[in-house]
Amino acid sequence: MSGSDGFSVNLSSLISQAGTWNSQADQMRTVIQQIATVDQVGHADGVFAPVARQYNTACAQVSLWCCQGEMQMLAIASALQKAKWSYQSADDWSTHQLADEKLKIDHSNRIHDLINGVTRRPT
Amino acid sequence: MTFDPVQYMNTLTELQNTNAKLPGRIQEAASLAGIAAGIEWALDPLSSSNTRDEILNKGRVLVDTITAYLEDLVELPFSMYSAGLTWSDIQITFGKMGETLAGLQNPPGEWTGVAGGKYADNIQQQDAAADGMEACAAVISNACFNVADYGYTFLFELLDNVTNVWESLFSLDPGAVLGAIVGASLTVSGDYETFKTSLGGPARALKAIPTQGGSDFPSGNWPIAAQL
Repeated sequence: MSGSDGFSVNLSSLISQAGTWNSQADQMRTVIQQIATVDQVGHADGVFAPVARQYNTACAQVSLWCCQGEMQMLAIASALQKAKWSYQSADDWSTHQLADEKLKIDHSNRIHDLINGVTRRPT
Repeated sequence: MTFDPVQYMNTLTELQNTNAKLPGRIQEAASLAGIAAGIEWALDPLSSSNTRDEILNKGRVLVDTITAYLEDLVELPFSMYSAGLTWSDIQITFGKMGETLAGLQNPPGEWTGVAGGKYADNIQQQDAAADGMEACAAVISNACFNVADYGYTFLFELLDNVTNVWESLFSLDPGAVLGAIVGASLTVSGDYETFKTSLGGPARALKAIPTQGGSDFPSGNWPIAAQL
């Protein structure tokens, strides 16, 4: 689809790119699940306690960032799909509009012809 | 030393077994020291020797110390090694994600106009965010492997010291036995301090992760590209 007002868009590529964002969101979900398998190492006390605490905190933070990333990626994919649907609707609407205009012109010409026909009575 | 699960398990088992055998052998060595002290007393009633008690007391303290360290070393180095492998995988995933997202920097299919431009502007930082996550995963993975490596090094040093004491207990010289126990206790204590200090490195690296970009990441969150 393209317009004289300076924009153009290939609707199928919008959907293709939305798919890529969706697959990256899936990747992010997989990472979140992976982190969940290793996000708590033990030892409330003992020599490893300080490093274990920092590790657990870091895991929680990265997991949170992953959730944010997943949400953003899904939102981007959704926005692209929405844009595609919007352009598609506009395209469909334009097609109807053109047909309507053509019909109106036809009607107008026919009316004009009829008027002329009436006024130009055969002698 | 680089952590290896099989070698670590073998070292751990050997240390546990040797440490478990120490008290009986220390008792025997102390008895020998007692006999020697008795002979010494018979020859010279004014002499006094408490080597027997020292061997028993210092030997008991050493065994208890090793037992306490072993409690720490049984599980966590394995957990951290396993976590390091997982984070290494996650690092690779984020690396690929960054490359994929970098390929999405241009609007799809010559998508121009206001919406296309806005999309292009708003997704600019997504691949940088994935790259940032890759770096975080690398830090966490390295920290995990370092903890496992340091644990292995300490375990190996403990085994070395306990083996030395074990071998000394077959000596017929009570002074040599006591010297080995005292020497091992000092070395183990020093090794423990070194080990504890070395764990500070990975702890600091891990502590720095949540402060990257504050509560959001990076510099203002995963950017919102959805508001077209």
